[in-house]
Amino acid sequence: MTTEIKERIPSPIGESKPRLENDQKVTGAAIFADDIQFGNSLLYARIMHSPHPHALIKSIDTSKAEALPGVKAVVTGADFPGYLGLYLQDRHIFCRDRVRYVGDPVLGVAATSEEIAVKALDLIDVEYEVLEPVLNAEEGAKPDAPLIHPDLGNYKVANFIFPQPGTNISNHFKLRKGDVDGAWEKCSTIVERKFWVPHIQHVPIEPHTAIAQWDETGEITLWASSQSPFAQRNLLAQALGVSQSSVRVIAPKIGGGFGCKAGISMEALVVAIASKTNGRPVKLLLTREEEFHTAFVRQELIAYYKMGCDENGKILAMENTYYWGGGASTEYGVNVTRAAGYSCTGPYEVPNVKADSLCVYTNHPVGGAYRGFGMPEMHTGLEQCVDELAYKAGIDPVDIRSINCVKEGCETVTGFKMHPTGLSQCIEETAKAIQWGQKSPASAPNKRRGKGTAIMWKAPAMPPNAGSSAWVELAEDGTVNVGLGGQDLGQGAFTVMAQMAAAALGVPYESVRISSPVDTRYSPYEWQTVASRLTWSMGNAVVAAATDARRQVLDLVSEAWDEDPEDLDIRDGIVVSYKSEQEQPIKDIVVYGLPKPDDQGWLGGPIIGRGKFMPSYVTGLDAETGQGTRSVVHYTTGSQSVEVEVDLDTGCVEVLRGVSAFDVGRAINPALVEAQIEGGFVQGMSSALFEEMIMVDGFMQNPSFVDYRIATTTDAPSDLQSIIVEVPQDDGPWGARGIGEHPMVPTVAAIANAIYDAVGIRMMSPPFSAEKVYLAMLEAGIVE
Amino acid sequence: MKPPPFEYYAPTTVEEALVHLAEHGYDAKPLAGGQSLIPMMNFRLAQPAVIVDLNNIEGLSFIRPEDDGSLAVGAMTRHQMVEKSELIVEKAPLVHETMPQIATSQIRSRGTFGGSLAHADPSAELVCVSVALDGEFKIANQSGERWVPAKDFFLGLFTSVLEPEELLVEIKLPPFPERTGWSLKEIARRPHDFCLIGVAAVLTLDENNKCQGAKLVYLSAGDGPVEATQAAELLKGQDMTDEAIRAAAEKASAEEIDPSSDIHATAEFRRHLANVLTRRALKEALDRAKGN
Repeated sequence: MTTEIKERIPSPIGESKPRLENDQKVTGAAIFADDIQFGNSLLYARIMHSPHPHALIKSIDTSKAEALPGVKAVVTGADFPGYLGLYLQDRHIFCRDRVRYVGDPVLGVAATSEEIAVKALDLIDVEYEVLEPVLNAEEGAKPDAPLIHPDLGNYKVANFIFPQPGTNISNHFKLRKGDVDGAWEKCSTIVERKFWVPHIQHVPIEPHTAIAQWDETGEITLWASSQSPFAQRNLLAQALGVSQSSVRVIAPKIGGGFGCKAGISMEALVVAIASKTNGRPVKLLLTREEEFHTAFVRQELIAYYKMGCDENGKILAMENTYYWGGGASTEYGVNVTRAAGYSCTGPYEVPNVKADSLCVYTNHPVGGAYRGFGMPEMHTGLEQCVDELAYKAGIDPVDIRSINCVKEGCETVTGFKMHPTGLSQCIEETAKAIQWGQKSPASAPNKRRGKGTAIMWKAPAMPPNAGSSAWVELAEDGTVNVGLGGQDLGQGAFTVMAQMAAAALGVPYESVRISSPVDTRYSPYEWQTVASRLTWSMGNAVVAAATDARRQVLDLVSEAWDEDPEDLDIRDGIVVSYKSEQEQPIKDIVVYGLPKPDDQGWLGGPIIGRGKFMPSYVTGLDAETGQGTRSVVHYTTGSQSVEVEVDLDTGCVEVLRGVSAFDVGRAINPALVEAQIEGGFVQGMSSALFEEMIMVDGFMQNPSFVDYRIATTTDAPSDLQSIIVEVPQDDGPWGARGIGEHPMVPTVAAIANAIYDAVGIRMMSPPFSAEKVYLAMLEAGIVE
Repeated sequence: MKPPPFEYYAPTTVEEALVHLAEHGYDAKPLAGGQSLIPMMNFRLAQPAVIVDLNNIEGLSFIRPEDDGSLAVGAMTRHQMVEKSELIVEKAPLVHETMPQIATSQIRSRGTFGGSLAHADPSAELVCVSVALDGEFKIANQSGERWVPAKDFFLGLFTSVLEPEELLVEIKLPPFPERTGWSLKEIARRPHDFCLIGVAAVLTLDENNKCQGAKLVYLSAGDGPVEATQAAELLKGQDMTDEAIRAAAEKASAEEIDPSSDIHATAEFRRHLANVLTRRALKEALDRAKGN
């Protein structure tokens, strides 16, 4: 009988289960932050933003606004002296003495209607003394550049970030390995290039929304469209000087994040305003225009690469300098630049490396986490240089990658021995799928086709000890409730967690629920929903909690049945004994326990399992060389190949096909993995062809969807292929590692390489508009 | 943001709509599909005190063949209805080819033929195509109606001959002469965006395959639809050789259009694209005129 059960229960691991929230989203039952009702007591906040890229605030007169009927609070930086920041506490909630970018929040107003709040802002006079702005990271890094943060030396900072007080450099990551200067002469081919990757923004379809309430006892509640309820709790408590336990963050459904709803940004503004409204809740909903400056943007990157290889195509040396335009605050962004430092070679084994990754303050909007966390920007130039190196050395671009890519046991750039990785297989798979080496005919005489490949690596970028926790509780009918603190952003995290809990506990997938919305008062701790870390880290915590609950059930049954727990199992929600062949559904056990024989009392009671996970093995890196035993938890690797067609007359680029292969360790839910890969490809393609925050003298020129273009479904190539490679991660649940961010990392470079293959030009700065491509072809003499 | 408060009327007949427009004059705006007006109101770029909603007027949505061989299209006919119309395929193939290039299917399901024309946006495909087709616009007011040729209808950026008390009610599209070919070519950053530049070409051949008449009308090339009459004149009576086509494209793109620079493209690049597109459009029109 038990064998029969074993056979008929497939594990939910590796099954493409439908997403848990499908019904809620399709029926409209899903509750987003803006859907939550607060009745008549709700107030509406609006923010006054700096009109200057860089200026001193000389005076603020709010008296007329405060006298306007319906205005309930006017809050300025004078009210909140505390500092805010994840890795570097360099920012106030509202500006105090100085504004540092166009859009910097100067003050906030709460009123009984949005209209009155807007009117109140018109009544406020702010006097500024305009200062010279820093508009470019490379210029900003120079010693004579105007200083944006004169107090940089006094800011609190994580011990792995290295600010340079007296400059605009808020982090300098140095990597020194081998002998670069001595290596160049051994190189038969050398490539040197400069690239510029502009600011882009995440543009989630749901703009940032937050509602805050301070009750009369000082308890703070924040409802926010959030990737990071626990980090927000912690950062708010630090900035406001209150206990973490006095701050409660509730995170309802979220309409896209991509990193901009991680850490904290506009949420602090609305909490600060709510401190002055006598317990009345205050809502702040960003407009699309505000989304481009009141939350986070992606840093810009000015990057210099020099790399060389010998006549066999073996890369001998790299010397890379990255100037990251971090914006007016780099509280989160400093770690992007660190990640780019310890990953500076890309997924290659290079014996001689010199790299400097510099985080530079500029008078631009605040840079933060954006899908890929520096890797898409860094790989944009790097992977084009590797391509160029191949062509110049007379080696096939796919071969040069196979020759040099990281393999198990090789020494990575920081001196860490590479764990098992399927990168070589990914390269082979994409080359095969795109029919590498075969040129297909163009669709018209004035068009040219080309193929390009780029590969990538990315590690979760986070503190070494970012933790996860979970609980698993069982109800009277044997259904399972999983408590967790990470967020489902549409990536399917809750679905995957339910699959893992079901598999670890031994119950059907359909009987598992996720306890949501995440509420820091009731949900277990999770660092943040970032870094593609949930499947791996939160997954480990959920598996531990489910295993704990399972152990409790089996201990109880072994006592009641007087059997060895080793002979017992839970399958499909039924406890079975392989020895006695007894069986009992868990629903009869998990709340009321089991009776002792002869009515002599009861055993057990409500079952609640707990679990946690925190990596314990990540070491520090030397401040001068960037070398250490283990820089990161692991790297997810992958490869992408694309085929494009370029119109010689117009410069228009069409992406015809995209093929991706990523090593995910183990695909817990293959359909969701494929969705991540396709979505990442299209987002990467969007940044390759369309996206750019056009900044002129510190002012953004295109803050709307009319002028800031993103790829939509109609722009995506119909031929997208996703290949899943599975080389297990030693500490991942069932071997799984993350795949959330990675698929957009190589895309820009892959498209650029394909453009080169088609028409022979190198594109040094995305987006590759028709005009840029045409002018480059003109300059190269490819067209007349 | 949402629009400031406004008065709202939903007449069910043209006569009733004209009464409201006459009464409120410049304070009133007729609402057709709302694909431009509503965003402008939400951004508060337009703040009409009175909205006269035309969507309940049944008699303004039609596509009708006329006795003289032309086609009449009601001003409130949705783009989607035009797109799917067999009559349009048969009698106004250039319009048929244009429809899928207008924005996205969501916008086409709500936007109207007449609304797009009355809005007089120089980057709108129909504005350009109506001129290329020698369309005629029927305009009504309380005292009667008048007909205005498309080329005289558009005065400038978002400006037409429509007076505040007037309503565009019908568009008449004359039939093509024999041996006429057509084409609409445009380039946008994404296919559904406002284009960087576009051109509609209509070409009629005589029995010797010489150009009997040509029309080149550009969109996103100035404050209104821009007709390149000198380029068309160069072609008249000519064999449609590559040289003739190139000369006309040069003339139009270098001298007759007036595109501007913005964040999406420079004027210079737009002129280059106009040159390329003109050649492509004329070649396609030529093939079609020959019946290939």
